[in-house]
Amino acid sequence: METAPRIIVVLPAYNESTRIGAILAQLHDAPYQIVVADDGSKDANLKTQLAGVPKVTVVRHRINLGKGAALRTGCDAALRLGADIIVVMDADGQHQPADIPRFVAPLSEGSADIVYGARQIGKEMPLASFLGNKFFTVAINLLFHVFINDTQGGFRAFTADAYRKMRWDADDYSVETEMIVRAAKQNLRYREASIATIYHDKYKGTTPLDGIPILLQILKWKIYG
Amino acid sequence: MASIQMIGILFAAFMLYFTFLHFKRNEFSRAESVVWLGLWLALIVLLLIPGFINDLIGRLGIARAFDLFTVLGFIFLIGLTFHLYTTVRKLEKRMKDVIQTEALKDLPKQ
Repeated sequence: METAPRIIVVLPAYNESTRIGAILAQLHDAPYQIVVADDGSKDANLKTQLAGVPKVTVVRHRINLGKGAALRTGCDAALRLGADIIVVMDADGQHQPADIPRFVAPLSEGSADIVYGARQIGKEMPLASFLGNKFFTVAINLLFHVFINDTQGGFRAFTADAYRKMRWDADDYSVETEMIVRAAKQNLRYREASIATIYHDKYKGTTPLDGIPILLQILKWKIYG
Repeated sequence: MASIQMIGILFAAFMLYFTFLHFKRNEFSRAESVVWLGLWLALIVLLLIPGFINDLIGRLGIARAFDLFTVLGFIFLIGLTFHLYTTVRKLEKRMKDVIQTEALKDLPKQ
């Protein structure tokens, strides 16, 4: 008899002590283990705040390193906990845990190695994010020949093997782009899953200024591999 | 003696003193101290005897001693920037490794 894959949800969190409770409550009854990667939050120590919460493991950076580093530490923790499938999503409530089964299904079936969440383009997305996202979609398509509708979204799922192959170096917001580039270079099979566009805080996350280092990184990955 | 020469000599003398201080506090190794002391002493010699480098200036096609100092200063700053960049990158990597290893220390090893 085949056993169900072990699914671990990784939530990178930085100063999300007020919002993370809601997403953990939604995940409470789901059959997933959760890893919270506290990236040196200043508002609360999530390791203390979430101590004793069932199914939740907290790994904490002593100081803030950036989203990419928190995701890497969280995914490394998931591997150590025996994950077969890793789901990464934001801890601020932008992503709905109810969507997770649609991400996991193609991975469990073996028809994909990685599933990218694709936010629906509409009035909910700030104009700068929309334009930046489209720019990177075109750039990645031209340079790496993969077409991803939402290159900057943080809701993704991949198999443990896929993670081992594409483990990223980025510590900052270029992590989402590096993930796509590495997955493309490793010829990982991908799918997209549409998700709702929810913005709680228009000033958090990737800003137009973050776009410049991301663009430079894309060129570096293209030239140096 | 021109006032710019005096300012330069005073500056070099101060730096000599600070280099010596760092050496006595064991913050600089003997080799580091020798290099820095040599550099400041050379600067004092050049400021006291500007004609000393006229021959070199002529060979390099540089018009004035001041231009030579400016060029050397830029070369030094570019080298120093590169050195600082590599040092900071090395420190960043070490810090990242320490923080991530510490974050995962309670979990079973793979």
